[in-house]
Order: sequence, then structure tokens, then C-alpha cells
Amino acid sequence: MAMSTLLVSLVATSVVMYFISKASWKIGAILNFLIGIFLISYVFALSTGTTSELGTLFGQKLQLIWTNASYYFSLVSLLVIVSVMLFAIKWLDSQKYPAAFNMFLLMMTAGSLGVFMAADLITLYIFWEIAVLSSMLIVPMGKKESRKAAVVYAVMSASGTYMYLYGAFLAFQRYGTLNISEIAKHMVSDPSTGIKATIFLLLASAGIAKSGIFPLHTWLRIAHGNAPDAFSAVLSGQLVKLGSYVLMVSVAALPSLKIFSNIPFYSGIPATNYFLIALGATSIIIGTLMAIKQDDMKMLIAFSSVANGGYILIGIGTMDPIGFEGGVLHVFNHALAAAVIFMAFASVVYRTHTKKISELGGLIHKMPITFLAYLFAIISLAGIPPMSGFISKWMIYQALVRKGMFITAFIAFFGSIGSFLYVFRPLAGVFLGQLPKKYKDVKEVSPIMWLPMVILVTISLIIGIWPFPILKPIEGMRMDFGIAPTMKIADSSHWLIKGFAGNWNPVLVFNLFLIGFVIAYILYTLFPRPKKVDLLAPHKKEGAPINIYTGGEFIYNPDLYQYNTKFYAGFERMYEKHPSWEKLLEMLAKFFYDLGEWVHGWFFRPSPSAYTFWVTLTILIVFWVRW
Amino acid sequence: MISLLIAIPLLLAFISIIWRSLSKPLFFLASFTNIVILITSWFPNGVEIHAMGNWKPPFGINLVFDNASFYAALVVNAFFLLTSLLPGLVGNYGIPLMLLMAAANGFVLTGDLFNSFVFMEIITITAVTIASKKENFYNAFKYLILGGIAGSIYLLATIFAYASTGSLNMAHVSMAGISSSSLVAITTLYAIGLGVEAKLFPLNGWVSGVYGGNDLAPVILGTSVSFAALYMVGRLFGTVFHGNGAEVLYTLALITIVIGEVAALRQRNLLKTFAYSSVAQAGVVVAMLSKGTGTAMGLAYFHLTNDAVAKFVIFLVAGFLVYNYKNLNGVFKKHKVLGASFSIASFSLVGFPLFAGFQSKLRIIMEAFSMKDYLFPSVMLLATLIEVGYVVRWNVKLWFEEETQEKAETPVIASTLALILALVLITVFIKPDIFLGGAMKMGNALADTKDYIQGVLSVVKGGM
Amino acid sequence: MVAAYKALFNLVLGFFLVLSLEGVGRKITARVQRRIGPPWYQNFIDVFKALSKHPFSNGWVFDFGVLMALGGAMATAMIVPMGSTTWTPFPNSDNFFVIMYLFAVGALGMAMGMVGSGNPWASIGVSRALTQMLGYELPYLIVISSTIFYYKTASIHKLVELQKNGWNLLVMPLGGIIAFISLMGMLGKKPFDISTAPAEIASGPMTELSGKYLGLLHIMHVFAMFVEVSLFVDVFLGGGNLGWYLVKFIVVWVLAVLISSVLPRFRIEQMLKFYWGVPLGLAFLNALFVLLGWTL
Repeated sequence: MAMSTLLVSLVATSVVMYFISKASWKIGAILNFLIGIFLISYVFALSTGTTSELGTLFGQKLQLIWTNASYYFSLVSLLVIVSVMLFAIKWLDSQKYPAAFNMFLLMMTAGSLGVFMAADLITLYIFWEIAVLSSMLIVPMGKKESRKAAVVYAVMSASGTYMYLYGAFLAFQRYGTLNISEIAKHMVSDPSTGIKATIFLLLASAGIAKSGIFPLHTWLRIAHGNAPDAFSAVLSGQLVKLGSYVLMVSVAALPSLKIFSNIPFYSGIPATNYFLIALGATSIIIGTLMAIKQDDMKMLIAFSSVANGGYILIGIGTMDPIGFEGGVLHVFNHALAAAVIFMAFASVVYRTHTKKISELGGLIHKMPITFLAYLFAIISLAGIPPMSGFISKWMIYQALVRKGMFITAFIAFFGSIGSFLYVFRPLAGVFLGQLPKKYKDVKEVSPIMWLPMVILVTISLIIGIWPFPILKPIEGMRMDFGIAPTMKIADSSHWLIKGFAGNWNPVLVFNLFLIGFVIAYILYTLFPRPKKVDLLAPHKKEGAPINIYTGGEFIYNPDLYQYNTKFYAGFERMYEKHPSWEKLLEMLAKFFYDLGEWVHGWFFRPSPSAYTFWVTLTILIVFWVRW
Repeated sequence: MISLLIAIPLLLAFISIIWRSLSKPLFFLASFTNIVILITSWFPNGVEIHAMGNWKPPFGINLVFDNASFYAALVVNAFFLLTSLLPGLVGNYGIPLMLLMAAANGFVLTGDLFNSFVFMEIITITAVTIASKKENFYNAFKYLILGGIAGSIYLLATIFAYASTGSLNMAHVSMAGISSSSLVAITTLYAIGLGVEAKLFPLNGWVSGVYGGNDLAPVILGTSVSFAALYMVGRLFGTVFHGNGAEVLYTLALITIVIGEVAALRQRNLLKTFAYSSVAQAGVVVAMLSKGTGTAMGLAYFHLTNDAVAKFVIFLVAGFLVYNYKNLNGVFKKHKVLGASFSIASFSLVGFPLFAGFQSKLRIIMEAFSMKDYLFPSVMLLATLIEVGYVVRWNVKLWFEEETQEKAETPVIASTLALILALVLITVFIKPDIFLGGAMKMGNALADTKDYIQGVLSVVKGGM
Repeated sequence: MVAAYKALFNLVLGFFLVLSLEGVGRKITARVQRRIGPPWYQNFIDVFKALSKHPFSNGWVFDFGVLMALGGAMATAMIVPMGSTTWTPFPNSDNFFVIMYLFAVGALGMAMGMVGSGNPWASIGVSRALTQMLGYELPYLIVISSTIFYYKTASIHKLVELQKNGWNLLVMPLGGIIAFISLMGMLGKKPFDISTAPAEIASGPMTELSGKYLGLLHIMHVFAMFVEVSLFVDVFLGGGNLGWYLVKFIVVWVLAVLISSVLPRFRIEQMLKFYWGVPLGLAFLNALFVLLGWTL
């Protein structure tokens, strides 16, 4: 099937899916999942270089092309989407609008794939808007706050999108083409740096808005935090990656190093890229600090997405071979980790109906599989071996240190250590500690819901040990974009990942950990067997005290003996009076409202005599100007 | 033949004064006949004129039928036909509607400046009558005053034109050399005079009150009458005055776009929100018309057609909702078809892909860029950004908020009509030529002054 | 195979070395504070006694956390080079960042297991420990980054080799001092023993530990300290044979103990403000010197 046929029929199918799901949403969800599986097989079968034509729009051919980048990004997206589709087969029974959810999810999938396949800026824009529109219609299906979230999401996303559109047409007006590779050629030879930089920044702003980079990051908290729980996994794991893709297109597909070679800023990186890197670094700081203090677990991970978007942007922005690969690989890692984390949260909310960390605790006793999935996902998110998250962070650090970008490196380190803090907060507050009494009858979610999490976590672990299958398309992308094509980073024959400053062997590291674990286990079994402490004693028998150390007191209510409110109070106190960018943007929105109020008051509400006055005044002014 | 377009509705209007109960079917009959007449003379591809009383132009009054007036008349009458299919909406207003239809047709077809003033006055008066539906008297009164002022300024401009050229015939005026200072006066006054009907800032104070006051006024005034008024902007500034005064229109249009969207954003009333949105869209159209080239004007009318179709659906649905529910939260859960049509139309308004608005908006931006105008696209995109805000807010509110009230009866015809038009918007996205072809012909006809002058002044086809 | 023996040797040496040094440290502290103190082998007695007692387990995640902690710490200890290429078990993977993050597996395992005990004091302790990490790691990582930038390698054994002509401590003395201050925080020595703080939060993470759990985690702590001090010795005090390496190790240790024995404990904000003040500033200054080539 040609790519264009695929995309068009996917969009059409999504509408049909609504009516199927109206009859039975379960069948719809299963069909969605099967279509997803088919799409994955389709993506594997397609060979790079395949092109296809979608049609003609105002004399411009809408073209699709399958590249290494399309393969990689589509695969990552589909992994996340298909998992959520599987998850949704059961989860949707807690939702109000299952039919519409199925329809828009499929339409969004089509839109995302189209973005990755697009060979020109307008095709990209069309599919981009389809993805945004359909996802924007899923967001308000959540609780009450999600309504406002949809609007904020739409406006923030649109602000980036329209800047992109302006940039696209500016490029078209100057170079007479919308094809990305053609524009790249023209831009290299264009002497005017000002226009090139304008086009570059305008195109990148769509990515900035979408991947939640400062200053357009605020929608992530609101939208990811309030969207339907499972859909947050798609938002954070997949949709945000559309933004990363556009950033990659504007930085790498349009070869920024060559285009802006006349304005180097630091260590061979052009000022334009450095500007993006600075934005990425700001996002890391904001995302990390804000994530640390969140009590709402979904908002916490939403802010972590802001920070991780910053990592991706920094990695790609350096245009250093290792940094680029690190940034691109981080797309995969964050996608999987964020998807699993949000699905785990969705499972928790599904059972407990709250997303406040301070209202939860001890769920490990009831939902062990969800807990394990979350645990491995956060290990990956925090960038700790042997999960795959470490590999990309390692690569990004390599690039930053090599370039001598110490301030950016400092921020990256800060974000990384900070991520230990914020991922641990839900771990401790939601899954560990004391189980509140009201949740004593909570059960583990059904296998349909935990299976996708387990699969994604397993993939992440396998890639962490043997990353070469995923590094191969990334290296292919790097060759396509001509970033140090002679350099080889992934050396699968020696099991090595080669950095500029030393190598490492992921298989060995994993095996060492395994050996350490085995030795520890042997030691553990050598010594006397423990007696079990029943942590759930107060739940089982009314009036039974808590079994653990309480300083000699009797405590009967486990809810009271749980530390999860203001987990990092000591640190949070230090920046509680921080300035808020969100408030600033709200002021901007308020400004437009007030302007509307003002206009209304002066021009639209008054009496007919005032209208007459305005008419006269206009005539006078126009005459005065024209004479 | 073409004078029938004016004569039939006028005649039927008088008949229905006698048989009042027949006004609804007669209104339908009038609009249907008009459409049939227009279809039989599909795109003249030249300039045909009908000289009243066989007075050869430039003497006497003549009607001009070329691609531009044909397409405008087609759109105008099509919306009258659509309205006539909705007896509930028409109510007791069959007669004013028919008069309005006659006047709008005359306004579009006439080739005479003074005649166009007369038709504009009739439009204003009948429109005010329609605006007063549901006892919306104060707003109708405001409209009447503004319309009156506009009419007198329009008349003043016509007088100036007559004084400096000695003719009222558009073709003749455009041919005659007018001294630059009087041309400034004429074009300025025309810009202001038309600005009221064309909803230019700051002459558009009436719009929200009239559109927001009842269910009929926005449906017909926001589509047919808007189109007729904006047609005249193109005719006067494109054909007759060769773009003189375009910069006034351009400046006012850009301000109108921003002001309209900003006012729409703050609006909490569904009908008024989209009334302001139609103000902003009129700004876009006028800005494009002020460019003066055939392509630019064609795209402007393409955009206007898309906008009119979308607005028809939006106002139809919104009018139904506003007058059947106190609280609009989540009402679309009960009216899925109306809801889907409304959403499609509003998304088309924003210009999301998959809908007609995308085709016109993108083309307009592209055309502006190719003319090296970098300001207009940025204003338009900023406006679109604000538009996204309120369109999404309304959609979310109407679909997803908790509903509270009993279901009102679904209007079957209105739903069907809305759905069909919504599907048309999708079809236009796939095959833009449906609207684009005609609009481009219209734009080219308006831009081609030479053909117009030749057609009017040398060829004479008299008689009915 | 040789690599495996070397790795095993790392573990054995690390265990005996640090456990004895801990005893020595207690003795030194006692003498500074005019007490007599326990014998130097006291910690061996403590560990083996703990291991032999019947313990209590607070659930599977508690057990799992302890195993993960010990496993992670041992894995890291196996990679760490000891002062020369000869004593580098895995020359292909001794990358600084690999060691740093592999080390975090153990820390995470401990944190998870202890919070899994269900005791809020453990949670508070972990919260403090993580915050403290945010404090000391940042200046440390900046200093190490400038070192890597200067020597163009992140491989520890190569760093050691490149210091043949002069210790890194002498090349960038500022960096060495900052790294040592960070090392104090890593080791959890006073004034940075905020996370355990026995008198305030009932020993924090260790509240629920008993019997072999206490013993195993003590062993984990031993390996952690082995890794931390080794890294400092390797990166700043240059190469040499195993003997020299041990001498340097002991000197660094004794210095840390001496300093900590005369200081009281910081509060958590004080600790952060301290690390993010002068040490971080100096770390950046050091990085600037490296960039400008102003090294000794």
C-alpha cells in the first residue's frame, strides 16, 4: 500500500471507527489495536527512500518520503500508541466518551505518521494540524479542569504552528519551493543570514511549542495533567515527540551548521542553535524545579516532560555526532518511560480515583505489577543503567563536555540529579509506605492494562542492554544529515558504544549488575531467614496497631504514619517564592481579554450618537491622512 | 432575463402582502426561480447588460451581468434559498426577506452608482426590519441610524462622482479621468459608506447587536448581505476606481481583523462571538480585495464563500441553541448532528486542514507573500490564533461540559441542512474548485476594467 | 577471565580495606574527641554479628531493595580502577559517567527498600539524602567535567595514565579541593550526615533494619565508600602501583575523618546553600581556568 493511500484511508477509517465504537466501543478498541499492529508491521516493511504523492495543493505537490528519521519516529510513536490502544481496551470502561476517543486516537495516529512521512513543509503542516486537532478533542474528555486544558493546549500549540506556517511561506516566497531538502540546499547558498535565521526560528517554534520548551511550556502541565489518564501517556510519550521531530527538521534536516557557519557563537555551534540550546536548558531548570514540588503526580511527570524535552533539544542542537544521537535516542527513551509512567498512573487513578500523591500510599501491596512497571520506567527516566535511558543521557553528557559547554552541562546534571528527586516522590508517596485504609480493597488492574506497561518496560530494558538495533536507524539518520559521516559510535561487533572520551559496553555493565545481584542474593540466603512483618495488620483487624517502629507509641491509623506531603519540604522552601511564567502568559491572555473589553466598551456598546461620532472621526482622519 | 432576478422577488413580495399566509411558500418560490434563472445562464464569460427602457449606456440605468455579478448573485440567492427551506426561521418575515432579496440582487447587478445607492437603502431598511425580530428594537435602531449615515455618505460620494465626471454609470465613471483630489474624496467617502455594510472598523458597531439579537438576522445578514456588500467593495475599488483608496481599505481591514477577533474572544454570548468573528473575516476579505489583482480578489471571494457557508451553519445552530436552552453547557450531547456540523463549520472558520477554510486561508497567505506583503499574513495568523482560542473554547463548552437541561426537540430540516453544508465544507477541502473556480472568475472579472468598460459601453442588449 | 579475577580482587580488597578503615576512623574520631574508642576491627564484629541474627522483613520490596542496593554497589566496585591500568578490571567500560550512574542503582535500591519498609522516618531520611545529592553532585560533576575536558578522556584508567607527569590535584588545585568537599558529602560524613541523623530522625533510612539486612546494607555502604574514595584518588592523585594507591586512599580517608570529627551537622537548607555557594562558584571558576588554559 502506498503511503498516501495508507494515510487517507486511516483518516477515513477513523470516522468509520466512531460508528463501530458507537455500536460497541470494545470492538472499536480492539480494531484500533489491530490496526496499530498492522501499522507497526507496515513500518517495518517499508524501505527507506520510498516516495509517494498525496495530491496537489495550489500548484505544489504534496509529497511523502520514507527516511530513516520517518522510520525511527514512526516506530517510537506506534510503540506508544499501540500500547495505549491495548491499555484502552479495558481502561475505556471508566470513560464517558469511548467512541469519540477511539475515533480521535486513530485520526491522531494518522496525523502523526503523516508528519513523519512528509517531504515538504505544507504536507507536514496539514498532518500536524490533524494530529493537533484530534488530540485536542480528546483532552477535554477528562475531569472538569480538562476543559480549560484543551483551550490552553490548542492556543499554545497554534501559536507555534502559525509561526511555523509563516516561516514555511517565507521560505517558499524566497526559494520557490516547499520541499525540505530543496530548501536546505537553497539555504546553504543564501547569503542573507537575517532571513535564514528568521526562517529557522519560525520553523523551530512549532517544535518549541509542541515539545514543551520554554517559553511555550506551560500547556504541558495543564494538558498532560488533566487529559484523560491513558491519553496523557500518548500526549507525553508520543505527541510531544512531533515537536522534537520538527526541531530535528529545522536543526538537522536544514543543516544549521553549514547554513549558519558565519555566526559561530561558542565551540563551533552557531548562535541560532545556541539560542535553542539556551531555551532547552531553561526548560530543564523549570521542568525539574517545578516537578520536584508537585503533589499531583500527573503534573509532576508533565513537568518532567518539559525537562526531558530540553534534553532532546540540547542534544540535537549541538549538532555534535554523539550529542545528536543522544538527543534522538532520548526521544525513544523518554517516549517509553513517560508512556509507562502515565499508564501506571492511569491504573492507579482507575482504581483509586485520585491523582494526588498526598492521598495515596502503600499501593505496592495491592498493585505490585503496576509498581514494578513504574519502578523500571523511572529507572529509565532518571537515566540509570541498565535501562535504556542511561545511554542517551551518557551521549548528551559526552557531547556537552567535549564541547566545553560547562554551564549547559551543569544544567543537564542538575536536571538529571533532580530527576532522581522527582521520580522518587510518586514512588515513595503512591506505591510505598502505608496503605490508607480507604484503599484496603483496591485490586491490581487487569492483565490487558498491565501487559502494555510490561512490554514497553521490557523493550526499554532490552535496548538498555543491547542498544544496537535502535542505534542503527539513528546512525542512518546521522549519515542522512551528514553529521560527521565517517564517525562510528555504535560498534555492535565489539559490543561497544564509543564516545569521544572513552567507551563502554552495555552488555558488560548489565552483567556486572547481574553478578552483583546474584552475589547479594547468595549472601542473603546464607544468613538466617527473616520473620515477616505484616504491614497491613491495621487493615485486616480493626484495632490492631501498626507493626513497625513508632518510637514506642501505639498508632492505629496507618494514614497518619505516612510521609508524602511536601516530600522535599527542605528544598521546596528554598524556591517557594519563584516567579511564574505561567502567570505572565495568563497576563498576556488577560491583556487580550481586556483589549476586547476596551474595544467593546468604546466601539461596540455605545449609543448611535457615538457611532456617528466614530464615523465622522474616521472620515476626518482618512481625509487628513490622504491630503 | 437578468432583471427577473430583481423583478420576481419584488412581485412576489407585493403578492404576499395581499395573501400574507402565502409569504413562506412564495419566498421559497422566489429564491428557487432565481436560482433556476441563474443556473440557466451559467457564467456568461463576458459582459451582458440589460439597459432599462433601452436607454443606451452611459445614459439611463443598466444592469450588468458578467462573471463577477453572476457569481455574487449565485451565492446571494443560494443563501436565500437555504433560508427559505427553514420555515421556522422565516416566520412572519417572508415579505422583508423577499424585498431584501430583490434589493440584494439589484445591488449586485446594477451598473449605476445612484441605483446602487437606492438598492443599498432598501437593503438597510429591510435588514433593519429583519433585525428587529424577537423585539430586538434598540439594536435594530442602532443599525438604522448607522445605515442611514452610511447611505448619506454613499450618496455624497455618488454626487461627487457625478459632479466630477458628469455620469453615474460605473463604466463611464471608471473611464473618465477624475482629478486626483476629487478622486480622494470620492473613494474615501465610498470606503466609509460601504464600510458600514462591509463591517469595517470602526463602522461596525451594529454587528454584534443585530447578529446577536435573534436567530434570523445573522443567518441572512451574515451570509447573503455580507457577500453583496463585499462584492460592491470589489466592484467599486477593483473595477471602477482602479485601486485608488485601497490603502485606506487595507489599513482599516487590518485593524478590523484584530479588533474583531479580540472582541470575539471576550464575548460570552455564542451568537455575538461569531458575529465578531464575521467582522474579522470581513476584514480579511477587504484586505485581500484592496490588493486589486484578479487572483487576490478571487481568493478573497473564495474565502468569503467558505466563510459564508460556515457562518450559515454556525448561526443556524447557534440560533437554535440560544433560543432553546438557557444554559449551553454540553448541549451537543443531545444534538449530535447539529454539534458535528457546528464543529466542522467552526474548524473550517479557523482553517484547520480537512475543511474548506484551510484552502482559502493558506492560499490567501501565500498570495500575500508573493506580493511581498509580510504584514497582512502575520496579522491574519495572529487573528487565527485568537480564533483558535474561542472556537475551541466554545466547542469544548458545547460538547463536554456537564449538561443540565431537558432536551429540546431537534429541528429535522435545520439539522439536515447544517449537515449537508458541513459536508460541503469537507468536499471543498478535497476539491476546492467547487468554489474556487467561480470565485477566481469573479476576481478576474472585477480586475478587468477594460473588458467591463467595453462590454457596457459598446454592446447593447436591450429588452427583457 | 583475568578481568573477572581482578574484579573479584576489587571486591575483596574493598571490603577489608574500607571496613578496617571505618574502624580506624572511629578510633581517630574518638581520640580527637578525647575518648578511647572501639578497636579498629570493631566494624567487622558489628557486621558479622548483624548478619548472624534473626531479622525481620517488611515485605518483598524491602528484601528486593536491599539486594538491589548491594548488587548495584558491588557492580560499581567491580568496575572501579585502582590506581593503574594493571588494576583496571574492565578498561573498555571504566567511563566516569558509567560508574557514576551505575552507582545510582545501588542508591536507588536502598532508598526504595527502606521507604518500602513503611516507616515515615525512612522516607524523610531518603528525601534528605536525595536533596543532599543535589547539593554535592553539582560542584563535583562540574569539576570532573572540566577534568575530562582537559584530558580529553572520561576513561578513568586513561586519566590515571595521563597524570604520570603530575597529579591532577596540582594541575587544578581548586578543582581538587572542591571535589574533596563533595566527597565529604558523598561519604555522609559530618557535617553532611543529614540523611541518617540518628538523634533527629531515628537513623532515617535504617530505622527498620534488623539482623542481616543491617549487615548487608553496611556492606553496601562499605563498597559505596570504596568507589567514592577510589574515584577521587584516581582522578586527582594520579597513578602508581597498588601500594601507593592504598597509601593515597588511606590518607584521603583519614583526612576526611579528621575534618568530620570536629564539625557539627548542617541543616538541609544550610547544606544546599553551602554547596551551591562557594564550592559551585569555584567549580565554575575552575572550569573557566581550564577553558582559558590557565592550569598549573
